[in-house]
Amino acid sequence: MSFFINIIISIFSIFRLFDPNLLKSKKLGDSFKETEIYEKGFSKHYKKYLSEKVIKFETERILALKKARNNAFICVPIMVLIPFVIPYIDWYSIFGENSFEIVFCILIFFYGLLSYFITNSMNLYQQTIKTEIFPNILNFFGEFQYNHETQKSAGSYEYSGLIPNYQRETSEDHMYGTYKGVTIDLFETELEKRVRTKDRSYYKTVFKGIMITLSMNKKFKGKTVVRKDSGVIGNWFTKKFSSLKNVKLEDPHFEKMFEVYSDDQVEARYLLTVTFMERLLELTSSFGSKSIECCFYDKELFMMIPIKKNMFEPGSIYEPEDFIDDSKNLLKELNLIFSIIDQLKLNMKINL
Amino acid sequence: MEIIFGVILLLLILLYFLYARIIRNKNNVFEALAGIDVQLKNRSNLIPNVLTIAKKFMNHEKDLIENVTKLRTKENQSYDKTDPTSIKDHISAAATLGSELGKVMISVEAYPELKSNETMIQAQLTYNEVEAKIAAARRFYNSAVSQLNNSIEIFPGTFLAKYANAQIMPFYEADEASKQPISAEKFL
Repeated sequence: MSFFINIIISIFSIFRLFDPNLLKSKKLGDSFKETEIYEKGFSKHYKKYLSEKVIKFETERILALKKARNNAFICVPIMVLIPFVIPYIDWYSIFGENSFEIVFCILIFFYGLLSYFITNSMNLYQQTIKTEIFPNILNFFGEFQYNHETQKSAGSYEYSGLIPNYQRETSEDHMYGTYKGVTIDLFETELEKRVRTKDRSYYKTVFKGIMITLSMNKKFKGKTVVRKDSGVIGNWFTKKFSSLKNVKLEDPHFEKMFEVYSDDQVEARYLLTVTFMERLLELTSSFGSKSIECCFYDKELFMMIPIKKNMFEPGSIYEPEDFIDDSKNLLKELNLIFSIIDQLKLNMKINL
Repeated sequence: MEIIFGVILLLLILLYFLYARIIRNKNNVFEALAGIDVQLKNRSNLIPNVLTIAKKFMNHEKDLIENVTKLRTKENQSYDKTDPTSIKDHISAAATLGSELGKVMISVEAYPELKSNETMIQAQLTYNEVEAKIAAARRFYNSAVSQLNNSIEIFPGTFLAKYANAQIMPFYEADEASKQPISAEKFL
């Protein structure tokens, strides 16, 4: 279903290419205005590392749009004409009984190919923003690295017991670095499970969002897992098939949303203080997520945050490029992750 | 006749499950109490280090330091873990010691040399961590006590508790000052 939605969206986006004002570059050169506490000092960083790139990227943006528009001038008439031509061809004599299905598949493929041909230059431009601009934004926090592609796999977090059963994995946007001595490693991923029915088999998304690992000085004695509440029956099954014991916490709102399991009842409560529970609820709503799940084990805090929208994406190519919105979005998203470190004081090494 | 036997059997099974629940809850309380003792032991082990450094600088807090030493000895005394009164006294001693130790940590503020002492800074950080762990252990204990007390107070728990050798247990009610881990850091 999402495949068809994506095709419809890209077709609509193609029509925007015919906007007569599209290739006019708008006024640029705005400075970064710090409106949030976590943005403090970024205006200087913006001036030093990003503002000089604005003109170059704005030129590239216009070029990418120009190329896309030229391609659209060739492809769109073909796309419009196809539905009128199709009825005049005797498909039955060519493909036989299954002609309808075959023609439908050919059409989808053909429209996909044309859309790709039109939007390729725009996609390449947006990828350049991710590879050339995102690292410059992330440098604000110190030694941070960004890779559009990643070798990371959800399989390495099976120990948490949070990874759902999946057969296909698509991962991208790998970021890693250190904040206050805590190593952060995160990537965006989509896990899909193969579903077989009588007639066909298809892939169903079982998780889409980001996976974060925070490695720290503290070593946890036990394993503590925070899962989303799966109702009376779901929770009963989890309890039955888990070696961990259920932890009952005091916050009724938290208890309604999450279930906590641990093999160390004291440590679980030490980690899940009232403030932390509040912060986790805050994070859940800030990410616009249904429910965050996490696991404290060994020296790591592993978190799974389901998010519908694609994170760490550059702004619209149809808007003038100044990287301000890109920076604001990235700073906001990373600040949420950093707040977990601050909250849990994961950076502090205590000799206990 | 079979129906009566069936009902009696069902009743006995039900009573057994309630009995087993009380035993399980009682054991949870003991486990939680042991958890508190582990953390109190950590704090107790930390006290001599803190006091050794503090004594060097805190000339005007001799009474406070002596009181902490006395309370530490009292807290370290063994107690009967099956006797609610004995547990209550133990908890009360621990809470008072926590409160007094908190006062020592705050008094450090008045002694700039002590405040900047590297060993003291580390001791304060460790102290905060221990207090946070005591608070966590206290939450576990109170949760276990709440479950046990509910299972005993609700009929037929009152009747079954005698056979399970279980009693109503006291909650760990720390005084207001020691309810929150003292963040001596912020004064540094």
